[in-house]
Amino acid sequence: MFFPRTSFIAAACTLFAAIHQADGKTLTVLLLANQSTQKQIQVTLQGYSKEHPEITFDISIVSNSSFPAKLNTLLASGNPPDIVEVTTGYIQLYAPQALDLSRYIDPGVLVNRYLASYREFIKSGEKVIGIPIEATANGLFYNKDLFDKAGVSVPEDPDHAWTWEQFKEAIETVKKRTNCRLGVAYDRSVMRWSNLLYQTDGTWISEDGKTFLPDREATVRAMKYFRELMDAKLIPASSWPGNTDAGQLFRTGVAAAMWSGNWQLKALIEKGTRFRFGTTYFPKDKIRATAPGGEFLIGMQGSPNRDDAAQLILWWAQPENTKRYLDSLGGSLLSPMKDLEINYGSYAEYLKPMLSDLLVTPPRVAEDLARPAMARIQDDLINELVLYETGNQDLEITLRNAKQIGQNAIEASGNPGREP
Amino acid sequence: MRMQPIRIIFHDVAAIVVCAIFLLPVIWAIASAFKPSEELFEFPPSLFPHHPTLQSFQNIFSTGDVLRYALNSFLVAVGSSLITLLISSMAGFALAKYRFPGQKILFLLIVGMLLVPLQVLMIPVFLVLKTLGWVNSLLGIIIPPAATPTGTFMLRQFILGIPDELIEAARLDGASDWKIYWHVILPLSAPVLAALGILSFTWRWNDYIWPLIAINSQDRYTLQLALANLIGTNTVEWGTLLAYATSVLLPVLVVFVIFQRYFLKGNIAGGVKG
Amino acid sequence: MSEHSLIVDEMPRPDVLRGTLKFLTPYFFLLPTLIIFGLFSLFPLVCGGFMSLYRIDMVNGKWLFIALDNYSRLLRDPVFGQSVLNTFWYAIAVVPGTLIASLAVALFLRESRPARLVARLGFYIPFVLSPVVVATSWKWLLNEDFGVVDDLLRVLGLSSIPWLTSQFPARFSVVVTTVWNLVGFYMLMFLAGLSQIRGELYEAAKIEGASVLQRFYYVTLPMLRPTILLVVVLTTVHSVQAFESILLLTDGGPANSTRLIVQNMYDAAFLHLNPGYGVAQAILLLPVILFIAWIQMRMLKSEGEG
Repeated sequence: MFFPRTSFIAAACTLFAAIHQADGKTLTVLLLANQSTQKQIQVTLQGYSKEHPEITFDISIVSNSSFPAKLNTLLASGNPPDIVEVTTGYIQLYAPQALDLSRYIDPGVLVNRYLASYREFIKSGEKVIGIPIEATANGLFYNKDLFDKAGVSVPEDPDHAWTWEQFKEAIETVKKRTNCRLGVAYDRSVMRWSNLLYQTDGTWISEDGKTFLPDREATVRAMKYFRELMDAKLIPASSWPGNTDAGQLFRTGVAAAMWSGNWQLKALIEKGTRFRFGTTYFPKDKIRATAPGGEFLIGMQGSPNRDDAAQLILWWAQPENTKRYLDSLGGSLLSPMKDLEINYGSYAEYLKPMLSDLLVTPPRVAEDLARPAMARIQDDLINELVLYETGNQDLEITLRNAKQIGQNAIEASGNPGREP
Repeated sequence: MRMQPIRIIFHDVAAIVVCAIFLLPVIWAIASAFKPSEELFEFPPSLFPHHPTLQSFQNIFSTGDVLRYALNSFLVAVGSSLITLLISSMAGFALAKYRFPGQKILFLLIVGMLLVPLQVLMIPVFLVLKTLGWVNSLLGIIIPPAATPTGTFMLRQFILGIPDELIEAARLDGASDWKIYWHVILPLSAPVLAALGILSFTWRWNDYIWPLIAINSQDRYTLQLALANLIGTNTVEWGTLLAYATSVLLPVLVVFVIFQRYFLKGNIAGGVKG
Repeated sequence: MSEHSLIVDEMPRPDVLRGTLKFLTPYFFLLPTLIIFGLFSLFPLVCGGFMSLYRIDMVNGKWLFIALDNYSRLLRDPVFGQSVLNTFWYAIAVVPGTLIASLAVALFLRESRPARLVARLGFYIPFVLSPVVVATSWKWLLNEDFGVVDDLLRVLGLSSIPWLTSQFPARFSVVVTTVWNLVGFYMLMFLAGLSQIRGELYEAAKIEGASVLQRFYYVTLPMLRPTILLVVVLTTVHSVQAFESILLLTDGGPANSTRLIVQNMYDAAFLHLNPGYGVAQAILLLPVILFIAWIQMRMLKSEGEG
């Protein structure tokens, strides 16, 4: 019984030794699991290695749900990765530990390459903490077959975007006339719900960063409107309060619309659907708005290879390299950089309304979403919202609880104000 | 009094039917792995594919170096299981057949550790791995989980049932403690060792948290880590995921089929209570 | 021949070297387990104990000593209390549920006929599925908008049940999913236990005129006592550790009704970035659960060990 055991341990050790690299510099990279992008990111990094042969990359891929666990374990034990891919929800959380790129390049030059919304995510006081590599926007999808069958038309241009009332009517009509099972498949997340808050011209956190839910009227408007949609059974129970991905529900072909984002396009187009679909402009209340999202690359101050990491990040931040990456994605994701001619290919017509919504969204939306406190409260906040929207909790109690959660997070984040 | 043959046949058929109903979710998952992507979540939902395809299975290979992940998973599952069988039986023997100070407390402590979830202790565990130099090494996922309290518990309970007379007989023959362990206890423990082997293989094969903590480089990934990464940030590759999960399932079932007969025959001849 | 016997009622005799070696023997056998256990379980737990005395800001790497503050917060934390209660109900449902279901299946598939062997394999499969697959497939089946189960109910004229989105049904679904997952393995435990019951015992009982039920109650059950203990302890442990597939199935909802303690600990450490709070929960609960395990062992072992 000893023999097989010893030989297996020996095998494991050999494996370990064989893989161990000795020369050149290896930068450790932590990427989010994302079948749409992870390959292209690795290819792009390989492109960098070709230009700089002394640098190689050791790439870890971790699924989104395990990401905080993995990254925080590495950070807490003094082993930060050299480069990390983070989403809009998390980037500001790591601002204190992120590598300050302004030490390597004029911050103004770097920051001004990007769309106004994305600048907010990468600035932290005087520091520039990372670069966006791709942009997403939340958007509205609809089932063309069902809408045609019901004889309901969708807005063709931004001036004719639906109002909230009109949107609700449209979905109701489609549902009634076609007898389709589901109304609007709506992701159950704070970010997706936030669109409504921004469309009422409200924000989660006040301008000075100290108060949570400063504009009571806007908050109540958004909450009540969503509740109307729920009460009219326009939002399927399996998305609220269930947690089924909206894309999954939409692809069944029995949902009139989907309130999600442009990342759904890749799957919808590449894998095909049994029905025709389209995208259109978000409905507006006081203003038109969509929540910007995306991915960023950041470096870590505590990493021994931070200078090389900074070089890599700045290389990526050059327009031609950003463009090359986005082009390699086939156009399914948006460019966070200004004036970048990306070939969106077959995605172009679908991206048009979302891009339009993104461009008119005021930058304070991004600023709001970027606040570290937001990253801490996603789960608790959504629980409160679900309780109210499913009719299980009173409005006032929900507001009070939400405010408490938010205020606690603001305090815990420790930097209540953001320097202008 | 023998059962009527008809009743036996009926019993057989009932077994298969009940089993099939029981496996409905699994059948759905496996059948879906053969569906083309448009069919995957269509409505009305169908159990079996209209146009079966191996596309999802082919996609598995484009998610990464799957063969390497499989090799890693194997090394880990087999290596760790062998270690588990050895040290659990040793520990179970000590706890069952010896009396020594601290015995009860030790046993309770070992079993108690089962109750503290690994997730919570990730940071200190990582620090230990780092000190030992086992970060990013397969050793880090082979050795630590091998000391499974369940294993110790199972072996102890079983060995308690081995009659002391057998041990004393071996003693009288002049056997050392180690020889007693090796030649008397181990063979008699074959059924529970087979069970623990199956269990341990399954656990290590399906381990996710340990590899998540310990492994960084992709070439050391196990199949489960790679599988989890199919759950993307915003979208999930369901087809590939189900195909992947189906395939990952197979070795464990094979292990089960091979080992179950050792486990189920038991060893009735003389050695065990009954 | 008063050779030092393994089972001694008093401490070993003081022959210095030999005595010491004999004295150390059990520790030698325990050594590998103890070393690994010490390094990877005990030491981290002790570290965790220290961590629980601090408020840790993981992002900034700041540790603030707050002594027992985490613990007092816990005692006032309604979500923590809810998760403990949920775990309690969950265990109470899962342990007997699994016990009865797996024993029933084992009895049902006791004979080694080919059809039954195949069925055994079938029942075992759910046990080895990764939690992702378990959660996904059940989630799809129980989807109230177009899951198979609710469709069936509608066809039968009944109203659909919100299996995952309403408190009581969600709890039910979570328990069912767990038992479904576990039955296969504990069926094996029982099959092994059953295979060790000597046929003569049944013969003797039959001669005495015992019915099938009486044979079960007076022969099978007592002989299975050690196995039953094993199953009870292991399923209790499992209940306490349950996390992943429930997370994927209901995410602890709706309204924290299926939120178990491990999810709470995990959230504290990795969502709220306060690992001290998470570990404090584990430490607080440890004695409670150990006590329960100890009671179980006392109750079930009293006659099972010679």
